[in-house]
Amino acid sequence: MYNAVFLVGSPKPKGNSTSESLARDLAEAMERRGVTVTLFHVMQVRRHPQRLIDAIENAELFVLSAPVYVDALPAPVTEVMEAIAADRKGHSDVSPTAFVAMVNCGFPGPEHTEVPLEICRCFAHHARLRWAGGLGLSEGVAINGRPLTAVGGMVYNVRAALDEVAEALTAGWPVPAASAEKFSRPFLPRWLYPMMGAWGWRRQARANGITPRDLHARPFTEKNDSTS
Amino acid sequence: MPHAILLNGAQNDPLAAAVLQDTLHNRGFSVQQRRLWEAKIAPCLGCFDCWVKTPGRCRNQRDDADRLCREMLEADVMILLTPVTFGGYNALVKGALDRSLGLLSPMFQSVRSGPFRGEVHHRARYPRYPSMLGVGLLADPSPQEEGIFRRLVARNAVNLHSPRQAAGFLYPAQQNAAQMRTCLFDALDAITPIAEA
Repeated sequence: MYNAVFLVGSPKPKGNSTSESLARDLAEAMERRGVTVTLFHVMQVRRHPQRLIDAIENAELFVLSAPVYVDALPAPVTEVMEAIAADRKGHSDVSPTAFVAMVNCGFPGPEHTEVPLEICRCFAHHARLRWAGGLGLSEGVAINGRPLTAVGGMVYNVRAALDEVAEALTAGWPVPAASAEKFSRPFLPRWLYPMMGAWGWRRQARANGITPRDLHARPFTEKNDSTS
Repeated sequence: MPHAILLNGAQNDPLAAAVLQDTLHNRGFSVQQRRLWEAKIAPCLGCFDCWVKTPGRCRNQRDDADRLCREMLEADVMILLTPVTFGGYNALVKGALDRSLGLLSPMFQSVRSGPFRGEVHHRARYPRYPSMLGVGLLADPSPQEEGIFRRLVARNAVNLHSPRQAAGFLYPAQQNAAQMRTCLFDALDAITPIAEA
């Protein structure tokens, strides 16, 4: 029996994060191949991680799906990783449990996911887990917490890559390099992203009654001036 | 007199913090230290209200994060003191940084020069930001983890529009105070403005 443990590393509410959308798509692809998946959310386990730690101990695979916060992983994910590594410090050898990390960020360009993935690889070493590869997604706001099946053709490459990854992991192989490349392909040209991003933020701000001038407020300066 | 904010996430290494603070004083810095294990900082929930609902400030202003953001901005140098944790910061330091997102604008720009030229990052909200120094603590030298740490500090500094950045490493289990002080000199030279060096 093949057991896989997934940890959704987004601090957002359940069902509302791109990290969870990606995790569920990969989990379902693995379940179609006979894998038993248990899914945890980081905000549920950060204070009491023992259930997660015990589940990893008995799993063939541990998958982390997390957003990039300030060029690395969110603090609650770091907290849980610290607990896992401390608990597994006594393991004398690298365990057969594989570890895969999937990170997503709002910026365009794969360069923003490289450091978080290296941190994950380093974590695998400290936690005596077998590093089985990383996947980095940029422009993650295109998914915006929706199930991948609801996003449409734009995520075709992402879903195809996750299916390939599920096939490889179930067979005991690491994440194929070609699948990681497919997963990381941008949704928009890099030059277009700043414009689309600005449009998106202004639209959200307007819905909250925030004017374009207020958007650039400087609340921590004395004069509280704002310039665009 | 240049001013430094020291975000101390190294609860188990009081000597390292003392040496760092002492070295900064000798360099002419005033130092404000925040022991992060004593601070109340809730996790960032990724809601982006600090951009689109309460621009510039987190919607949660009940804990210490709001005050820390102001102190970061008022400093000439922001120093992160942390055990190197899988090549990055520990959860205490990371938690403080996660809640500083509102210091930046949501708008994007391409970096025009330097090693990150062509990358897209967020625009500045304020006209000035502190330089950034990451001081990582390790039991033993680790080229791999130190390399990740250096890249993380450099990337954080680009995002924060820091005029200067550096990373330094201390090995408290192997070094005495004088040795630790020497280790800090190069990093401090890199972030100290030339007029005051």
